[in-house]
Amino acid sequence: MKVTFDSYKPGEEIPVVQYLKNRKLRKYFNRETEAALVGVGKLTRNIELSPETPFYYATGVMEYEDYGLEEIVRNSTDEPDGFSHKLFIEEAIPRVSPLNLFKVLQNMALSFIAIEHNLIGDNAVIYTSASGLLLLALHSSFNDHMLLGASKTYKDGKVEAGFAFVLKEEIEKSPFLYSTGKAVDMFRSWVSSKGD
Amino acid sequence: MGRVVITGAGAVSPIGNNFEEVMEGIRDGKRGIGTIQSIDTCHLPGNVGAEVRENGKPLLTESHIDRKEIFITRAVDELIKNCGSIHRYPPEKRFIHIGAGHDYLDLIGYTNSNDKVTGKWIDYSKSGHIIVKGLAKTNEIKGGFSVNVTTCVAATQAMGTSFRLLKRLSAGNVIITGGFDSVINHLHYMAFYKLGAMSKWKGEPGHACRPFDKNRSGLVLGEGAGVFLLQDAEDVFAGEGLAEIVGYSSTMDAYKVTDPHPEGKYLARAAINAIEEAGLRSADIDCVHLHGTGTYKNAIAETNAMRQIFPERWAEIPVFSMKGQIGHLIGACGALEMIGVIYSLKYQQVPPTVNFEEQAPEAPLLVIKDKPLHMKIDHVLKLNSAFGGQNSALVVKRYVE
Repeated sequence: MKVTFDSYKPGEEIPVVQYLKNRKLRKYFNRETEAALVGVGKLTRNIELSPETPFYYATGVMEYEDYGLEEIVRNSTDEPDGFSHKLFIEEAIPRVSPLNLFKVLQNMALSFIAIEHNLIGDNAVIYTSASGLLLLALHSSFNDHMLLGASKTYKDGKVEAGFAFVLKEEIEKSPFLYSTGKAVDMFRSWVSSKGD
Repeated sequence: MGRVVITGAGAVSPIGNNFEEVMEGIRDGKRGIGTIQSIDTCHLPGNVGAEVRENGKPLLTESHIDRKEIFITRAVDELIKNCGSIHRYPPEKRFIHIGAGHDYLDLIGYTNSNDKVTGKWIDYSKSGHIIVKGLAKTNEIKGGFSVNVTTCVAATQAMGTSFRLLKRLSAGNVIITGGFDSVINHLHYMAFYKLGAMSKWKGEPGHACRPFDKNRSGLVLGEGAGVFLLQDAEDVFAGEGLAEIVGYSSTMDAYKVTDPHPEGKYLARAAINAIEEAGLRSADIDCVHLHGTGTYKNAIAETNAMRQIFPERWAEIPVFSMKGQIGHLIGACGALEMIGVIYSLKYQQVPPTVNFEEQAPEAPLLVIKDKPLHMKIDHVLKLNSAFGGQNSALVVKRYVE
């Protein structure tokens, strides 16, 4: 099994540009998507990914900060009355870039990785669960290496992303198959156990 | 490997508040799209949506309520009430794998709170994960749960991966699957509006979503939930089976996050893979229930996919889209549309696509118009595609005991 796991401190630059073929895509990314693209880039450095490779991904909750929540709230507030529908439409929403939706939709990391690495195979995005992620791979009809990934943004702005290129035999042996743990923790554990 | 049978359903939708009502809504060509009343639309640039109704009026909720939680709770309650078979399984053999839409955020409550000062918005947000975890606990489902969030294919993928799981686990296990969503709130409505995806129809709201029609102008957002009980055929008692899932596949366009692949290449591939998994040929498919959003590009992509799936008879095979009636339920669309599939198999009909009036020259499919097409239907192909480029296909068979 080949595994990567990266953790970025709040505000730390994520070197996504080094791993992008199409740099114009960067405008669509939040930090979690950037971390994910770096993770896959590192993982596949010496691997020829078949386009048919299944790709299963676990993500966390929608990060409303990335949609511009702070600005929306600020510009929708009519003191002392609070939220104003009129201000929301006339002042807040015009300040939100249409691109921000791409920063919060939960399938975007998977979508951009598919575009960057030309992946056209089986896929799914689920919430957070390590066992759920492993089950998706285990029940796939594909019998070669599969790409698994997970990412998470923490409350303080820390971002983590992990990826693995795995076979079903490796999954069948994993204790995470029976755990209620988070997928991103599984990748951290896999990397630690390899001594990377 | 087992045979996977749908043995029960529960639903909440803009055209009916239980499974039977939705089936009747399909039969009657009921329109669930209207003027939005559950949120204040006076300043919104549009006011058309497909809301869940009670006693003929849109369900009204306070801003701190995540509407999709109401819908999935009601749908699961209906399913469990009507499907005594689930009680034949111990809690450890019960699973729930559901597709969910966007996390809800109580924008009004958060804006009016002091928490906005510290940016503590998470307490005003609710994820599908938390909701499904709660449902699993309430209903003693201890085999496992997961929540698929692949946007518009979330429900289809949840049903497809549940099919795979049950095929492998075989008899003695039961799965609740389907999807739930509501995007009728200020934040989500405006997000879709800013993408330019919403219908620009100026006439009657009920006519705003027009799949494959020459005058289609975009999608209409909807809400609801649909759930199904999946059992292995060995566990199914006489009279319980509604339909059988026989094939599933999912692919990615790897093209653009904003548009479907115009050639429909990988949507076609998902369909062909699912048909192959079912041990069928494309000639065995009797009709196709398409994604049919009502957008210009969707119709072209699906038409091109149809050409590849059915090279000889792509223009002759009847197709249907339910979105003219219920709008686009995003994370729940595949689930509600599965009821359309069950309808076709049960009543041996392809329903007319509501609001399809004039053939679009760029999408010359056999879209059924005005009245249902009665025909022998053994296999239905169900397709859905997601914003972001994911495609999913299910092949569903008429259940024979």
